[in-house]
Amino acid sequence: MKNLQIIKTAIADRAIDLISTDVFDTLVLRTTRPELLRFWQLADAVCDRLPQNISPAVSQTDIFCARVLAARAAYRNSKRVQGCDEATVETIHRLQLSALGLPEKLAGLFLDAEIAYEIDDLKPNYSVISLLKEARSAGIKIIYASDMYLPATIIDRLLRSVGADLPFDGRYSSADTGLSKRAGPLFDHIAREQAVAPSKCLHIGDSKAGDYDRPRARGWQALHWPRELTWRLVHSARSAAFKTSLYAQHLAH
Amino acid sequence: MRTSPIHLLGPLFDRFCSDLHAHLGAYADRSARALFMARGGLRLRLLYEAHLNRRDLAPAVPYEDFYVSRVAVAKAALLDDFDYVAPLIIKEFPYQQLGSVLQALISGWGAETPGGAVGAAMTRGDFDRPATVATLKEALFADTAEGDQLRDFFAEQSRLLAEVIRELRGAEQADHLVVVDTGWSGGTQAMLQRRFPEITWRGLYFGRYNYGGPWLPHFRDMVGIVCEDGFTPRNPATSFFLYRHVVESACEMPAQSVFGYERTAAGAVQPTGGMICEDVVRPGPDDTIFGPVFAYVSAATTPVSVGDIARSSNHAAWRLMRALMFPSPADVNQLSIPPRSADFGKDISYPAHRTPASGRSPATAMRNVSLSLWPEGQIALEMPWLRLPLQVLFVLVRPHARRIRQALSTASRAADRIRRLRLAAANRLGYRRRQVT
Repeated sequence: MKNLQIIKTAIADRAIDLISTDVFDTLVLRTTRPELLRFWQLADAVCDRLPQNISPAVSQTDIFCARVLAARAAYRNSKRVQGCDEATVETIHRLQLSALGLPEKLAGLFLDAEIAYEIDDLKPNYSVISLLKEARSAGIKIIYASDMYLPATIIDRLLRSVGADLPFDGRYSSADTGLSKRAGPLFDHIAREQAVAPSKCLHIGDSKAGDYDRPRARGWQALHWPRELTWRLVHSARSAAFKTSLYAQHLAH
Repeated sequence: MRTSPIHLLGPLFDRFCSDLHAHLGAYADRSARALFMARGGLRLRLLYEAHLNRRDLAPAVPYEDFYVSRVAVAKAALLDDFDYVAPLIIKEFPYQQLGSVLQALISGWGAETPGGAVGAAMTRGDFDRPATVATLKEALFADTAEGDQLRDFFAEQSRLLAEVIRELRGAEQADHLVVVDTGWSGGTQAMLQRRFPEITWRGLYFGRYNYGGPWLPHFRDMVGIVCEDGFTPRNPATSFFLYRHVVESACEMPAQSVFGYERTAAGAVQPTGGMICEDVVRPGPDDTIFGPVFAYVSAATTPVSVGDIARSSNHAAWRLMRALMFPSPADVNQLSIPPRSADFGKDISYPAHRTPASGRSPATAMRNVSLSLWPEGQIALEMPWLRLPLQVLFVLVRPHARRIRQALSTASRAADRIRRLRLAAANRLGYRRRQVT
């Protein structure tokens, strides 16, 4: 509530010309499922969509392990842009299919399964949506900025599907630009492209480093908007529990 | 039944190959080549080929053998990047005379004195002074016949290495070169990055580690595929850092290290000492570590699916961690390795373990443990009956070793000071008593 009031005052005082929002866990909210569990469930969804007679035969475990491996390989060996190491979903799926020994033409099936799963996992954050609507009607530019392997076209699709679509003035994903919030250069890129002075830009998001420290270091205004404590506790507990189950199956170390 | 530790290495090397394939796949959308760095990398290449063959996969990017070493790149980069390379060279030759260092760089450690003006100067004793960055600079950039000869030699090494790399980049002159090796701190890669900045250098290693030192800037361009940045019990694969020599030893082969480059009569460039025959790369009958690893990776019965490979390697990692933290004497014998050679072309070797002499004192046993490349293993050899509690104690103490050493040093200094104060007080007291009497 305090955050909301601060932003409303800034809008009323015209202290800002642009509001940038993080997407995942800010504009749209995830369930408490941790990332590894999402990959595991996504692997099950992909398994269901694969043709019965696919060769070589792959299991949910294979798809899950290939996904974890592909994500690590894609990020650690990415093309570096202004010091940022970002990956795209295309690369991740290409590496995942290669690890599974499956043809690249199945990338579309993997992507469709991923989008369907994401839609199921997300819900709109009405506080942020109404705030952005208010800012837009006050003549302030609104954009989103996400450190995500999904490109803005797919993020738009997700937002539309969950009812969080807004008339954004800019859509920025690290997958498109190769620049990230966590390293910082994405904020410079946004301010330059939107032709707004950094001091007149406000960014909100749930990550202390990527959504608060980095923009402030680059002259932006920023508000840290973390998920509520109960969500974080449940999320951590589920993450620990799922990791334990992976240890038990020798699928993690 | 407990699997012998030697048979736990196979699944971990197989996982390395599987992950290496995925990591190399990330470069398939770029003009890239993988370079397996001699010598250890050649055996990793052999394993990678066996792994691809077993899983019926095609290589992710074109690859080559890269005959290179830290000393070969240091020689090639010395003139162009003196301020970075010279301290690295000097650090490798502590307490040596400049003449010995130059001789080692030009002809090889312990080899004959080189000919020409440099040889004459060595015979005269012109280089009989401590080897430091300053004395090396003085000798290298001197306006003398010896200086000319030294500069010509290092400039030629630089040209030859550039030619080797041009050839390795292939017809398309790949702009990404991905070096593959066992590990650890990527010193060779760092020098290559500085010497050839027009190329994007990346490194994929079995492990990445700065020997307990700080994170290095070029670590960003290195991936330790199996383990990175020191041992943590939460990640059992990092237990390799307790005894990383077992990885190096597995990939070591009876072949000369690359010491530099030379031009053949036909005009081609080759490593000094020649290329390594494929029969030497393959495991021989004496390869007690690499033999079982290669057999596992190439066996048709080894899992082929990525899930099963992960499961086998994670299972093996947990058991290997137990064997490396709490080894029995039998484990130590199984994982014993030949004496390790010193790096940088030096003809020095260091035993991994010392065979305990009968009737040794506890102090000798403790010294053997502290000098061992695998202290947990040496504890098992020195004190087999007490090994488990001592190994547990060692595991608890190891993370705090630096602080304990500092505390002991401080305590020792404090005790020394108290002793001196007491002595001074006693002396003063004695002086007063003498005055009174």
